[in-house]
Amino acid sequence: MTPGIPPLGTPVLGTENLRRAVWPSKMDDRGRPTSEAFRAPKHPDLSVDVASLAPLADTQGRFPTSFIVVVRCQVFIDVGHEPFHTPTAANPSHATVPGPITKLHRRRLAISVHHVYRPIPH
Amino acid sequence: MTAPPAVLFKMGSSSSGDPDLAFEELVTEPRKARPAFRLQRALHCEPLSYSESITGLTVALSTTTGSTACRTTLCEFSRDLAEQVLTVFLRNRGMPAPRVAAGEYSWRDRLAMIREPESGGAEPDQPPVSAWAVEVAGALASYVEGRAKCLRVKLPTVLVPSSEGGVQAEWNVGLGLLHHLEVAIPSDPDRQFELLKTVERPDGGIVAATEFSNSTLAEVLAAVEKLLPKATRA
Repeated sequence: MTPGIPPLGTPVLGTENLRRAVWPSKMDDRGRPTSEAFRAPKHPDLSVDVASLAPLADTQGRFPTSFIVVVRCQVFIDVGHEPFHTPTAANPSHATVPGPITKLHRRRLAISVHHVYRPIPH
Repeated sequence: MTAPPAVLFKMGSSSSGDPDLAFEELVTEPRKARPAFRLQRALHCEPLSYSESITGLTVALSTTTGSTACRTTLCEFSRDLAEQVLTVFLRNRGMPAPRVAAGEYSWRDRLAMIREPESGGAEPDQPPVSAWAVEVAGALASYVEGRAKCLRVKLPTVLVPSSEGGVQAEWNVGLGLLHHLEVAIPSDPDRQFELLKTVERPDGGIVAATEFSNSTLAEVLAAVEKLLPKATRA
């Protein structure tokens, strides 16, 4: 185990912030994520980055054409989807949110987003 | 410096309403107001992106100092004016109009992007959206637009490709308490619509929520009709 990286499968603390990459077509007219931002194509689980384990630039670097939205982990826990650490060699900050998440809960996550970062201009 | 948007827009509008002329007026009469003058100075640079802010639109431009590109926030304009000016500016240089964020798209733009994923509307791994869902989404958005025109209210439709090959349509009404309606249009006609209605506080709390997983088109239209009177006057 690498020092500082939580072991695979351990729950993410509710106090953490989680970053999720959102494709531009899934943002609404107010620049906010829609509920579709919290649903992954072809997979019920969601991938997120734990903010305290990697700088924002790392997440943006992996998803330069996506918006990056930030939600507190506690919101995922409150709707019954407790994220757990799934670090990889390429991304030690990676975590997984078990799904599928219902439409109402996805909406709750969308409106709980407290920061939105635009795609990197190219 | 940020002036009220209405004043700024008036300043950039030509008497004929022609955006080109409005642009010319802005550039040739920079002393009319400071934002216009700042824009004229900045137009010597290449635009990099622009983004919305609470007060309007932040125009970011790139300049090159040696080999280092830097990005500066120029000033804030009303969104309409800034889009108009930037579009003309880019067109004069043979560049397409900027399409940076989802926020600048009409439902027709969004539908075109959903229909043609290669134009940038689809996420990698996203299953193709069915032609049936696209057709229904277009008809629904067009219906809402028509009804909003009749009632002289503003109710823009946001269309989003869904992860199941369908389309999600949604509407938001209200500034304090937000009335939100979203409809998941399935990928094939044998499946039902999903409907979600919420009333949300500005702090992100949900005051009331109703979710229907098996709705008919008639129920969807009824939900839209209930939302229309809450929309702001156009």
